[in-house]
Amino acid sequence: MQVFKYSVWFCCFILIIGCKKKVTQEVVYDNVIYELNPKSIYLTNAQKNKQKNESQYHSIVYSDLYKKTIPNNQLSDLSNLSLAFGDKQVFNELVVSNYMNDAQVIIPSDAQMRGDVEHFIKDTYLRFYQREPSELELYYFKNLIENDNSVTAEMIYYSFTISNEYQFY
Amino acid sequence: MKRRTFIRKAGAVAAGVVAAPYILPSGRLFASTGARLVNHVVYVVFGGGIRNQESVGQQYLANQGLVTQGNIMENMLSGVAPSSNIVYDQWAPVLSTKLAQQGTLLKKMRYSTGNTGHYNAHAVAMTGSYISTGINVNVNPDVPTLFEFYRKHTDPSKSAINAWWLSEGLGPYPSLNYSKHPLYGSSYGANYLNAANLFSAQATAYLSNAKNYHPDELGKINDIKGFLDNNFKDVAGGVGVQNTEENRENIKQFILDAMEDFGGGTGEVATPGSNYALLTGDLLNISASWRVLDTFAPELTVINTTNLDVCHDDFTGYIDFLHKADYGIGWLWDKIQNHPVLKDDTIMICMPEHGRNLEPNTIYDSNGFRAYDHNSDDNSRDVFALIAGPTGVVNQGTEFDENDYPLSGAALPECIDIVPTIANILGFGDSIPQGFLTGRNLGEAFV
Repeated sequence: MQVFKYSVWFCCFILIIGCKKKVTQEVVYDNVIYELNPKSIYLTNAQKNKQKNESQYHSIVYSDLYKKTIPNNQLSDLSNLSLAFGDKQVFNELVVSNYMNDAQVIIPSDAQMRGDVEHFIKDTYLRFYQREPSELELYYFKNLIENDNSVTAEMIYYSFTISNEYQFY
Repeated sequence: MKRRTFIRKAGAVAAGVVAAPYILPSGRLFASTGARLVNHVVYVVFGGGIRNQESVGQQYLANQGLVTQGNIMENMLSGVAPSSNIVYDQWAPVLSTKLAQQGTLLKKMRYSTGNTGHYNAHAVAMTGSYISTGINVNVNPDVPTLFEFYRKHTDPSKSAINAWWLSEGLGPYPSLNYSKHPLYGSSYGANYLNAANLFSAQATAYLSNAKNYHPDELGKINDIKGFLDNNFKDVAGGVGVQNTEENRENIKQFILDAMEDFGGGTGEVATPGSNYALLTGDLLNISASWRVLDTFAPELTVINTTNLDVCHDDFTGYIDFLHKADYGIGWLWDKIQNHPVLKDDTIMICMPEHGRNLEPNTIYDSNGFRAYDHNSDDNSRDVFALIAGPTGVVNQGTEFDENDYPLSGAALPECIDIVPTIANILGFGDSIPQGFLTGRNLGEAFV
């Protein structure tokens, strides 16, 4: 009888435990920023055969330097301003060098660049050319940065944005 | 020394060194080819559409039902200014000797064929060919421009820093610095600038903080860019006229300096007392053109004025802008004659791109004056040309009217004659292949 009594109490306990409502907490994040790891799009630069138009150039160079989209009005203003110049390269160089004086442009410090030169070079190629550097390119920049203390990350970024390959996709 | 000052002085010294061997005992300058008349030409497409009645005709308000006549272009033309019914701000002339006295006035030139639209007529004036394009088509012309003839056929060939085109407005005008012609094109084009945009708030916002890299930094940047470019098969095309690296840097510095000076109100402008409040679009363009001339002393500079096209609905404004554009031309010539390189070695040619109709349209302005369009009527095909230059090179104080033609067998001048005339002045006329230009050298203007 005593055993039966304990068994009833045990079954009731199991039932109470077993019937406990399962509570699921759902957390909704509304400010999550998904980032992409830089990914190589081109195996070689020979795959680039279309020249960017002016609007594409200014849109892309802004995104590459600020890591955000160029405001529409700024893109429109730049397109209009470029008409005032016969030599578009002069105009582009002025625009990019103007960005270089802006504190919001995202450029590694020289210490960061020299702290991991190979990473900086690979990151720069991915950022501006969307491809990995070749062995020769890696060697050239490694040699340049390690042997010339006056070379800055800004100089390298600026050179990439005004280079011929950067004009193509 | 500011870099701008250095560039200017270095340019002046270099030009002086080049010119010095060709100064003859007579004091007259000759270019190295021996065929040049002078080494610099400033061609003003004195545009917007000007009727000969109000310019060389000096009829002022005579066609508005008032008897008042007079010369409202006191820098360019001889003649007394109107003394009554004054509807424009009368600015005292800059020049004590009128440009017409310092050169030859061709009182009637013809724009023989094609529509009298601004772009089409500019294209005719700058290519030396009657072509027919839409009024507002923003495309490079099919036939070579004056700039391309100059750069390709001058021996040795000239870099782009020697050829400039500065327009008052944008629209289709930026396309006139080179053509689509397969034998010419952007490789032989001119530098182009539009002052109104260049010195705007937008330009200040996006360009004025541009870096002026130290030459050592630039050297490294160019080395890196050179390496990157060597590893890529293509060269970016369609980027307009191209300058050398050195000239690009000089142009960038020029632009930044000019933006700073004009933006700060310290740059000299073509108004009485250099008063910025009096600036018009035309006068800003003339002021910017002077900066180019002063800094680079180019051999071939083409500029335009267009403000007086308000004549479509504002005859009073047309008179005022015409008077002010004339002031700007006088101011520019005065500057040229005080420049160490350009003085006595420059010929300036002014010609409206086309005229305006004989009959007014139906619009009256605030003074009750009738407005004029330009619809290719016969009157809108009449323009004038003024060719001013050094004594001994350009005939001084000479005038030719339609009654003087045919002149020694030569026909009445036409708008397409200016390009071959400039080609002759700068000594490359004989090098242009047959068939490109059908106009003639306006030899009657020269000694």
